[in-house]
Amino acid sequence: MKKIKLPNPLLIFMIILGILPLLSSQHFYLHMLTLVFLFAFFSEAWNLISGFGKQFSLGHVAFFGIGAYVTGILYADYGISPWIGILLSGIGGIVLSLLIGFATFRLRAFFFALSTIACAEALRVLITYWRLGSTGLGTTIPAAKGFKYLTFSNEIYYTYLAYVLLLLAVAAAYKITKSKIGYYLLATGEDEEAARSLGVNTYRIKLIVFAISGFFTAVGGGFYCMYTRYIEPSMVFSIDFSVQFAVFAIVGGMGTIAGPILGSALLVPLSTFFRSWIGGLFTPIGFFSYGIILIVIILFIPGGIMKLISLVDEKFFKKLPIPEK
Amino acid sequence: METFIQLVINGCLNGTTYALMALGLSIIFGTLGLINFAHGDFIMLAMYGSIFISLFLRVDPYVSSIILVPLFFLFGIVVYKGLFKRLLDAPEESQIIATFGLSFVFQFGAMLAFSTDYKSISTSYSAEVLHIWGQYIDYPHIFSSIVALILIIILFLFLYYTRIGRAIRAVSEQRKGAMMIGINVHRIYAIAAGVGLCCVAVSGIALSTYESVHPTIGIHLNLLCWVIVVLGGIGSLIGTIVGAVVIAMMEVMVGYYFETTLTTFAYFAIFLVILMVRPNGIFGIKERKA
Repeated sequence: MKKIKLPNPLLIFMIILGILPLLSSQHFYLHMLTLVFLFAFFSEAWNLISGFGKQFSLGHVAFFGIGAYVTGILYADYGISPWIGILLSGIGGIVLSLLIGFATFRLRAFFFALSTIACAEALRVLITYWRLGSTGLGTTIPAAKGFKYLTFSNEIYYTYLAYVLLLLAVAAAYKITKSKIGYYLLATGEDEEAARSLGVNTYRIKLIVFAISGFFTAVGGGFYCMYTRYIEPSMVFSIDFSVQFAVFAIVGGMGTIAGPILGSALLVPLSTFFRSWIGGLFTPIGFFSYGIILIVIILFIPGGIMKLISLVDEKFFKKLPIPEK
Repeated sequence: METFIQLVINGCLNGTTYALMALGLSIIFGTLGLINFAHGDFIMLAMYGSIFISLFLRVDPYVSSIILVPLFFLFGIVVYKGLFKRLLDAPEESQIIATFGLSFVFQFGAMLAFSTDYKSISTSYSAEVLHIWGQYIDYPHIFSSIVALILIIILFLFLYYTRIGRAIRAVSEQRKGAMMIGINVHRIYAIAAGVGLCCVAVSGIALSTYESVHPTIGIHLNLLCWVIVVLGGIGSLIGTIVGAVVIAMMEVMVGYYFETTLTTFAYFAIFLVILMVRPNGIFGIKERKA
């Protein structure tokens, strides 16, 4: 019998996502989609090292912030095109990730988590000291129109740029999981000592993947800075971002490619809803609930939504479960 | 030279409070083997507790410890039963995520309950200064370090000369072995969590007499405690105390000779350097795990 070869579900999923911005030209709808794509992208980058590699980073905002600042300052102070700025941001992200990686990847996992937070906090105070010494104001990105300066009048351009970023991250994640590095990475995450005893250079694998993750996050930070057009250390180095990256991936399913996208598609609109409808004094409810979500998921459904999907799939369709990792 | 001596005195005074703060973390981490990323937020809650109790009852913050310390002991047991117990055998990254979630619950819960304003308390001795041998030392710092020192001594007496204290040390050395000789491990763990939070309560009270509190202070305090514990060496209580004094000294020096805001940057720099040069800290025991 001839087997019908189904196209990769991930591909279909990504195409559907790509059509979504065309459905409505309402500004708010597009803004929401941009945020969903962007956070899915960050979450995907975070997921590379923390989901697949199980090296839990709580300070990914360090890369985000450094990206935003490199792009923002180069553009606002020196007039360098943000396209170049974003690339330099990415390099900044790589340098920073290697610095942290060199110091911590030979040690226990929590040293890594801790030094990522420490790094984010250190950068926050350093940049506050450098930029905000006397004025107390952040940096506003001047609005010069044109493609060259990454400034568009229509929201849809930003939406599609965010989509392209997400596509790149998904492609990278897909490529990595299908490559030798990906298998090494999974083995490292599963049991580092066992992986090492089989001859995997776990230290090197972790460094490579962390650098890729840092690169993406910094690039996204650069884009974010051009999107919001205002940066301030307490904003772009806020630990809230790190938590969001982590929460979206954990809710969706750590160590899966679709997980971070599902997580942010579910939670970004929800948190925006909380912020705009409830708002005011009750804004902290959003992050308060993120904290609870983190605990509940870790204790009861460590696999997130993807795990639930695979359970349902197994039960009703009797298929092979989606590989968890 | 005068200023230098003054700085050293300030460093020592801050260091004792920091030591107590970090000992709370060290005990929980050393005994339960649990990575607690919510430690700073426990301290934050203790600071709020101290301020509110002393405002409502119109008493000195240190008197509020009569209520706050037992409360935090119970709090520790509740948190152990509710969360920590389930995380004991979980992989490290799960512990990190869950306690980080806890930290967020506390931080934003505090924001909901107390708003983001800075809150502080003034005592009768807030502005008083002791002038001795040409040095000026303010009373809040003197009192806080005396209290912290007393508590540290009590803690060591408790750990080394009482049955429960010895059981805690036995459990922290080897859980299975302790179980085998008939120690109720979960009871000891709950007590250790409670004792850890007692340290937190007292250090929170001490801190609230001279620092203002706001919901996000926990991030900073958490980092501070972890840097101290790692610097001193994981699993070594003496190391924690030494680490605390070293960090406090450094903080005062950086604050005076450079810029106060740069102290966080200095933590990070020190932290990375320690990890590269001496990952087990000053007094650390060799870790076998990678």
